[in-house]
Amino acid sequence: MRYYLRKLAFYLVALWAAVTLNFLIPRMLPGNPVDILMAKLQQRGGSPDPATRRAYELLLGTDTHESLVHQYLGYLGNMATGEFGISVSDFPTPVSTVIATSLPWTMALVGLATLISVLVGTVLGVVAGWRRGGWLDSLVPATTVLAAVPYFWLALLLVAVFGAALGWFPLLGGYDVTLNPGWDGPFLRSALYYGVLPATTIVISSAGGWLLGTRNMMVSVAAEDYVLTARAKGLRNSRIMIFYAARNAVLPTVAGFAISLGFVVAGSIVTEQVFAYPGIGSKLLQAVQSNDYALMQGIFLIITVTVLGANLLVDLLYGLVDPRIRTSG
Amino acid sequence: MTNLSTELAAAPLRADWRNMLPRRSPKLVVGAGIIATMTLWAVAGPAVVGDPEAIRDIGLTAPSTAHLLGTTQTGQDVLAQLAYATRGSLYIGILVGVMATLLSVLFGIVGSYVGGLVDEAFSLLSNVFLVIPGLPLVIVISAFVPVQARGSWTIAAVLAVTGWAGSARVLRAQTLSLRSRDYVLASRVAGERPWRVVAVEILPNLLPVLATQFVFAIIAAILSEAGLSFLGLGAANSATLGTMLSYAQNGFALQRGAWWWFVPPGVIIALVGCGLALINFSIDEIINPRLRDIPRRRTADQPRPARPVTRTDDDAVLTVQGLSVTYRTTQPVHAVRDVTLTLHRGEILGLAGESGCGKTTLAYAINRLHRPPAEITAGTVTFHDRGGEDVDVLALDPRELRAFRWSQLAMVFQGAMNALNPVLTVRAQLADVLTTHRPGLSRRERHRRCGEALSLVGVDPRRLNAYPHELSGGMRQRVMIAMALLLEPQIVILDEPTTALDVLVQRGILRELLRLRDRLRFAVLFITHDLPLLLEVADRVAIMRDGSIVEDAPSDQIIARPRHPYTRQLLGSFPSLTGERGDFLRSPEPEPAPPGGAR
Amino acid sequence: MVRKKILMRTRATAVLTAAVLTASACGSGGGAKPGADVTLVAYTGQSSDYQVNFNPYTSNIGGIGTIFEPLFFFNVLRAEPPQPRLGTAYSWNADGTQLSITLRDGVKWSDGERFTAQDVLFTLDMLTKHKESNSVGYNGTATAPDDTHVVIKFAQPSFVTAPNILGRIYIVPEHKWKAIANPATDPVSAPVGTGPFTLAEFKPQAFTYAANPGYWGGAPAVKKVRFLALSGNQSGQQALQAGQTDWQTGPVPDIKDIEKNYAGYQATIVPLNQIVLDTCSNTALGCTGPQTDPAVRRAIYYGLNRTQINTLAFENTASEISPGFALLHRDDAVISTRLPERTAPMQPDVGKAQQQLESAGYAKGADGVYAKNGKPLSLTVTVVSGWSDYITTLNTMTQQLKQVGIKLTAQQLSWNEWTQQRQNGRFQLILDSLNQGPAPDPYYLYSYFFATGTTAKVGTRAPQNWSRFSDPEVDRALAGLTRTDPKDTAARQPYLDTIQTRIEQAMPYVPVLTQGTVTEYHASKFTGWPTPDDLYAVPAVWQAPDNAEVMKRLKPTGK
Repeated sequence: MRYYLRKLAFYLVALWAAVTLNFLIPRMLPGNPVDILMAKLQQRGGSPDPATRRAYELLLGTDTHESLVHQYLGYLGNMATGEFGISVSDFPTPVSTVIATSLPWTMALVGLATLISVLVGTVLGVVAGWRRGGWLDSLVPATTVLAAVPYFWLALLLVAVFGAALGWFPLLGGYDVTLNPGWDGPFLRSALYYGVLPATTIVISSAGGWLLGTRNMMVSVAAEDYVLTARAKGLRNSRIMIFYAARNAVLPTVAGFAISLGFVVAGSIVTEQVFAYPGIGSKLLQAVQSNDYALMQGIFLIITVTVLGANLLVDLLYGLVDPRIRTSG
Repeated sequence: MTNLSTELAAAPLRADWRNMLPRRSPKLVVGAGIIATMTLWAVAGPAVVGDPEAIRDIGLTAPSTAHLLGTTQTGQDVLAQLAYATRGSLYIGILVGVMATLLSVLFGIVGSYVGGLVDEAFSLLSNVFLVIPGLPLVIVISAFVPVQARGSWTIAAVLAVTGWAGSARVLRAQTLSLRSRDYVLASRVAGERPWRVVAVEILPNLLPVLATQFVFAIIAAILSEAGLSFLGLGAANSATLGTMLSYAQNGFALQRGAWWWFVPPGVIIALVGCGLALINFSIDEIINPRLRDIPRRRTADQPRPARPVTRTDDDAVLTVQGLSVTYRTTQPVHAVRDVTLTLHRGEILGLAGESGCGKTTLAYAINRLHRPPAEITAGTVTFHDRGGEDVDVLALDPRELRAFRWSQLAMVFQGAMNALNPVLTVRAQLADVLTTHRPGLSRRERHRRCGEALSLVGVDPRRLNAYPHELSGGMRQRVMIAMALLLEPQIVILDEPTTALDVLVQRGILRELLRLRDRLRFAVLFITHDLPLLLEVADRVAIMRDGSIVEDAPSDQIIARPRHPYTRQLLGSFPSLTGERGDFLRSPEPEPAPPGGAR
Repeated sequence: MVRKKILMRTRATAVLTAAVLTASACGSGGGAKPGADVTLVAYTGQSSDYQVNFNPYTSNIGGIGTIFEPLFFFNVLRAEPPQPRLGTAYSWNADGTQLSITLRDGVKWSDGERFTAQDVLFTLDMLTKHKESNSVGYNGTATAPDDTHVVIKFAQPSFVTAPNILGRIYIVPEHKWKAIANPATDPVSAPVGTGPFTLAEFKPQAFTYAANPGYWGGAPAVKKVRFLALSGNQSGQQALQAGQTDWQTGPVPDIKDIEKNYAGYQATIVPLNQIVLDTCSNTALGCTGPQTDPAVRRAIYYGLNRTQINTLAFENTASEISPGFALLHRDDAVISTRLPERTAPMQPDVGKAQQQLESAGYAKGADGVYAKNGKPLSLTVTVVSGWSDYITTLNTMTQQLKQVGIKLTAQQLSWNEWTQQRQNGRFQLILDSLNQGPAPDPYYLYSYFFATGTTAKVGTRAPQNWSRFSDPEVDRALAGLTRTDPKDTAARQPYLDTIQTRIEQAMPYVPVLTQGTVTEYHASKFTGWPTPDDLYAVPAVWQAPDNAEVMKRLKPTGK
């Protein structure tokens, strides 16, 4: 129980740190983003009403003599209610709406791709680590090369080969734009179809990391005493591999999830750019290119919260999976 | 597996520092070769290629003799651009690698060495930075920095600040484990200054880990910078592989099939990453020697024709004849030399000797649990079944061997701390023996039998649902014994079963064991270094030294009339509780085997 | 252990399901449904989501020309009289202070109401009241003597405002718009207009027009027109390659062999905008930097290799430019004979360029770069990131000017940043283009970019004259043109001569090339496109109201 509470506390601290970082960055760097945003709003025909200006000020900093603490508290309040202001690049949509429409796409793509990647990498890693010296061991350097290939380059290659040259998959987008987004068959099919290439990019690039980690752990675990006992007990090889070796080897992999997720999130941003996938990554880039600071801040916060949430989930899962944690707390 | 290392320790090792260098394996050669080539290309390449920026009217052209990698849309030579771009990328990669490693050393090593509140704070900081997603943070920071200020150093600083956390965590874990090592504590007690302790005792042992983290940091930096440049957020006016790819996309290289513009930068990034990763593998093998690629030894597992030895007398249950086991390391270690033993039904045969004499190797070899580089070079192991059959254990095929194991011959290992699977319940670990060897049983029957087995050794059957870490040491050992007796084997091998337990618990377990032996009539091979214990419990005792059996006689004979001088030494070395202190036993070099191979 | 088994089974099922779904998705997928109306798919380069706002004065998808029509259509490519749309005839009084317009009779709005002069009056008054929407600068007073006539009175001679009033004001229905609280900001999501199309469907990434059966000119032959939003700057080319769009404007690789590379498509290249280097040239208005010296600007002018730029950056779709900025071919009649060169030299003259610098006091340094008073001749040029042809142009220019001894540093900015810099004058050089006005007359370009009235000090937002150029003689000539009836070519020429020679001497914008606006269209699927022989409108998909003219004339071939 104590384990769960400690983990929860840690993630709350991390969340606070991220939120505060988000608060401090625009104030530490030069420039006056609020004025720029207000000017852009005007350009777009928006009337800069005081509420909008206030939202921007809390988000990005103001040069009035308002105390930092006061701004911070107001900022926290706005964050809690999801009030990020109005997006300048997607005027006049509020930032929270922009995020709400694009986040599910990224979560679906990255979530699904990571799941597949973890499963593929772990299974292959278990087998490669157990059967030393087999052909699977030669997989390891191969996946290392793949992991060293930049995500976007791999994405471009896949598009060139499977999209342009062979024409098997669409070149870009999240779904057929002529369809109406909704929970119906044609749309879901279209979404799945358009998601194949981006997901493949993520899987190919990240499976190697899981494979390597699992394989190394399997090698360590294979030398443990309980594996020796299992062999002495005359158990079948597959049973030993799965219940004695793999079951213990994947634990640290689960623990190392945080680092891997960071790479996957980074890779997905670039992948979305290449595929023009309507997820939150391409919105972030769109925000950066249009100096839409409000949208940028909002997205950064949401990405952070999502990643923290995923990590918390995995840590809780770890607690379930490793009985030593469960009982000792 | 500690016995293995003590066995190996008998062979003199090379000097410590040389052990720190990576072994020359194919991975290291290839990896180092790639990196050397790339570095040469980055350093010397720009001097030999032409001007990367000169434009020509020819526009986009395919590779030719004039331009080995073709030209870009404005007629610029791709090969020339590639040289400068590689230099740019490597420069930033190394810059970030150094900065990030310095940060992680600060927050990881120094923090955890100092300990206390500083350690807690640094660790929290590392974890927080670890979970905050890196690239979005970099993007946001880069976006706020005005374009004019976006130089190479700024970008490098941003990348370093967002990338140090993972390494810090790893370094901290290593430092924590080193900090409590004996030699560090010793030098602290001796009054050495903290910085000296860190520099002399801790850092050298951290070097391999530090090296891998440094290499990781470089790989990550190159990839991140490439991504940033591709998105247009990289350092202004820099030429890196990422900017090259960005221009290639801008110039529709993909659509026009201009692979020569577009493929080489990505290939170089991949090669550099791959080379660095291979080097990391080699360094990993220093940290964890088990990861080394094991050369296949075809001889070890060859099927051989069965050559069972007939039993010397009706009561024999196991005959070991002339068994020799060698560790095929660079300097072969003859762990077991020409051992002959006979175990009789219902007998407790003790096997005694000092650490490193080969007794555990012998025990493993009997059951064929030995792993490369250990190899049985001569001899036979024959099991004499109650029904009259003689089985050559060394000739069994894998399926037969599995059936043989545990049902005929069970083992209880030293230090049940690690011998039980930490993630399975006691019930599961007992039950899977039955699932494998007695597949016909129903689940209820299996559980009943498990409960019975626990009761047999004096453990409450309610403990079936417990996990190993919830049991005390003594209880775990009893569980191991229960597990060993589940199938009522004919032979039980005990390898130092009570060494790690306190005296009273020891007594209890031994008493239990004797009781069970009386009831179930199995033979016991009892391996230990504790000769006095053995003399109490065992019927016969065999003394082992440097791989050979020097004496083999009933226990009372050993006490009364030890024949071999080593036996006498051994007997005399144990201090009695009330009497003299005893001799200090440790012979400086192995006594040469008497001619004729007498035991 | 059972958990693991279940996990494995679930994993397998998931993979299988994904495989099956993917396979079935590959089978189905978009494509023209047989028997339905043929849709013209247009791509304007829009990358972000569309906002549902069809207010022609505030939105970039305001239904200009398609839903809402102007009174007349002015073809900016050919010197020809304007064509009647909602207006049928107009005339000025002698001194240009009164404009009388006759309106078309029998026109209905798309909701069935009658179109009358009241609607025109309402629209004009709305522009007077809401200055933010009044981008054409309408400043008259309008009255409607009857349902088919409108009379507008001006305080000053206003001949030159006719194309804007008649061609760039889009008439909105009074009966609908009078309910709109603030027409300068409020979005219009269900537009009612007189035009050839109505809004059929709107989704954030695609909206569709449908032919208006009750259109006064007869319903167009193309029944549906869809505008797509595709993100990514490669998407246009990719969509073209895949045959997914029928009408696009913008550079695509290998445009020369378009019929070979993109089967079924053809391209029309129209010289329209003039590529220049904006220079912040006027120290009096706060400009600083080497580019404020006219010698430097002339050195750049002579140092450029325009042929090479055309080849490498524009695939030879650009054409020559006149330093007087009159559009070649269309304005041939008014190009000043007093210009030293009729067109800017297509080959570089490094010697002449260096001469310009040396006579202004620059000396060549050891590194090959000219310097004066210890300061090297180094200039920054900004360009919008993503404009690939301009980026390539800049790269090429940098190398070319290196030969002369001028150092250029290119900087890519987001469009927003770039626009701000340009408006505020905080730049040295900008690679930009000068657009034409609403009529085939160079007057408008001069009034936008060379008049003191449209500039401002550095640091203040300038409406259009980015270079801060201010010349009293040019201003006087422009005033004279404003007062003169456009039909009186003889009276206009002296003013045009003055303007052209003055701006050629000062060169606040360094002319580069005339950009060929390249439009690709699906010739095998639709006929009626503007071709070089018949440029009845600007063929660019994003040019309004010309694109409506094109849409009206297209006919599906049935293939």
